Amino acid sequence: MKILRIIAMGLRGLLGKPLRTALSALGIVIGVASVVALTSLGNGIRDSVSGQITDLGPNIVTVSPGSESADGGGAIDAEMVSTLTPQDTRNVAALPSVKAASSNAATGAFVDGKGVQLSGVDPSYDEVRKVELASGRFVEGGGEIVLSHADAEKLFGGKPEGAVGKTLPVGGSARNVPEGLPPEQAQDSRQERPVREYEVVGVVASQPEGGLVQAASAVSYVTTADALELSGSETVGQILVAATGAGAVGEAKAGIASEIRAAHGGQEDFTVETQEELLSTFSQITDQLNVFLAGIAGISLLVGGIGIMNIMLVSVAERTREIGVRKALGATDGDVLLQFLFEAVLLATLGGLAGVALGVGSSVLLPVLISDLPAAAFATTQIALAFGVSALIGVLFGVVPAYRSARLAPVEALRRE
Amino acid sequence: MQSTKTREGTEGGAGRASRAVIEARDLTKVYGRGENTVEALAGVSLAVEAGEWVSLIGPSGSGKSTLMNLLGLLDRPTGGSYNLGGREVSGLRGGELSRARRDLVGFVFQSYNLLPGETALANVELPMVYADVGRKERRRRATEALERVGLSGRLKHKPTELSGGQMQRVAIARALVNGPSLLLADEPTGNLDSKTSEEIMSLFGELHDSGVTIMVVTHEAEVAERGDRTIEIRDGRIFGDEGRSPGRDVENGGRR
Ligand SMILES: Nc1ncnc2c1ncn2[C@@H]1O[C@H](COP(=O)(O)OP(=O)(O)O)[C@@H](O)[C@H]1O
Ligand SMILES: [Mg+2]
Repeated sequence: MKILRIIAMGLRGLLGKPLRTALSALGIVIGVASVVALTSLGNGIRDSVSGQITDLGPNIVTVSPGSESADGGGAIDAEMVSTLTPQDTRNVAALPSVKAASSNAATGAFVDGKGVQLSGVDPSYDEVRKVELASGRFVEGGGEIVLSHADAEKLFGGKPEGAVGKTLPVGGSARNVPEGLPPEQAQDSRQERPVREYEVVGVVASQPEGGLVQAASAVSYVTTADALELSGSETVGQILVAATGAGAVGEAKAGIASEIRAAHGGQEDFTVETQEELLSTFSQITDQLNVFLAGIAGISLLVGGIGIMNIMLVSVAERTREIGVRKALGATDGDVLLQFLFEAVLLATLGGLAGVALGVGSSVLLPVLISDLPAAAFATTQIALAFGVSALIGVLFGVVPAYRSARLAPVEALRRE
Repeated sequence: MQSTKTREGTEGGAGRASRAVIEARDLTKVYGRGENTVEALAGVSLAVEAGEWVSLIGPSGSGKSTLMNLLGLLDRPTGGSYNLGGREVSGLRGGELSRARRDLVGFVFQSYNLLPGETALANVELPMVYADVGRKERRRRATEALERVGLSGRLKHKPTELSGGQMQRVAIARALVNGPSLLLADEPTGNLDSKTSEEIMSLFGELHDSGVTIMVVTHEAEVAERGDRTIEIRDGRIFGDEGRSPGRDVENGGRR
């Protein structure tokens, strides 16, 4: 079989000149590797941003005390006169459009004699707003506390790992310890409530600096009932609700409003807010990021493609004389084409595979070396596209000019240097 | 694994001595297009019989290489007819032309034109790859051809590891390995010193003695004298034809 003889000869030629073979494949290796790395790292950034958004809870609806219409959205200073109760939370949680709901009763407390900000929440809080734990589990019952990473460090001398399973004395003050108050001053506040032993059941994971959820991770958690006991209050500061999905947010909002209005005797002494505004901002960001990424992928594919084109064109031009020699010795156009096709396909395939390996490898390695870079996310279609387009360009620009040279009369090809 | 072509480089068919290997009529070659055309050959008619050794001489630019390229099927004539080894080849194209080139002519270039990355053996095997000869048979015949040109000790050497004379010997072995009717050489000693030239021409002499039909372009009188016939070409026309074998009537042999 002449075809096999020519292929065997081409293979020997490639193996016999490993440096030239490697250099020809280099264009494809770099082209594929850069596309794979750029898109995978870009995907990682996008996933990290949207992941942080998801951490915040894009389906969240918040219920705050005070009427929006009464004092122009001053939900925060209405906190003092909150009429929201744990029962309201339970009612809301029962709505079909609601996945989970949790009270949030903020209070200050003394833990082991040190002032700490506590959030009294329901066990379902974890479903509403995901809390990443470094160890242990989330609060499930009374007498349990989940420490923020900072608090755990403060209370356990920089060794938060050992906190889980330990017990701590926790006592409330009549007033909330204002945020930012130095512990010495806070210590002066009268302790009116009895001190109880709490078991540390979990420690919140430390958040990367500058992360969107960092602020939320600064508090320690106890149950709503414990927080109310510590603060001596009967109402909660906020109800956090997760709708069953992004499409159910509107329905949830209406349902929550009518449920609480009914429970409060028709009074509109609360405000229900969706995170639509936040969502729209975020989806704008991710949309822009997606367009940006597609652009990067396109440009790297173009640049990689031009590189491949260049190397293949140069290597075929260098070999026009070789083509002339082969034709002078009796090779047909088809014989020459077959040889170059085989070589180009082999180079493109091996180069493409090496490029995928290099691209995947560097996208795994870079986030490890650069701590601010989120982990890469790999999309098979993008990798396949990078491989396919590069290989196609490689084969095309390896074969088409070779075929043009092959169609020359042998003397013409031999004249080229 | 079949090896259909096993004929030796020098074995010819019976009655070959009386047959014309080359029969060209009114060959013309015009280079270029439009206003910048060059008429390199202005109508050359020529007959060469089997076993002849023809020297082709003439001033630089007279059209010697152009004629050799046409006779070697490396280029296509603008006009005229060409019968090679009893076969009309001037109308051949594509695969047929490639196969005729492969089977009927061996061409030796001034600049050797070996594949630089391949060994002497691989270079000589190359024409047989395109003739679809099996690997073992290729190896055997290439080794034999290299022995014949005195290179049995250089089979695995690459061109860069060989002297000019040795490279030309490899090229000659390569030209002969498919058993062509005709060996064409365009200034084969043009890049070689006189001693090496002498050796190469002795090799041509041996090939001629064993029955190979040879046509050699040369500038050098000593090289031309070795042939038994000298054709001179000027301005794309045959200007003189001395010592041609008797009994053969070539029309415009001396026309001017
Ligand atoms: N590819 C070409 N294009 C244009 N003119 C050519 C080409 N090859 C040869 N010529 C011209 O044809 C003429 C004959 O050239 P050539 O056959 O190489 O001469 P020689 O081999 O006798 O020195 C010269 O005038 C040369 O310039
Ligand atoms: Mg010349």
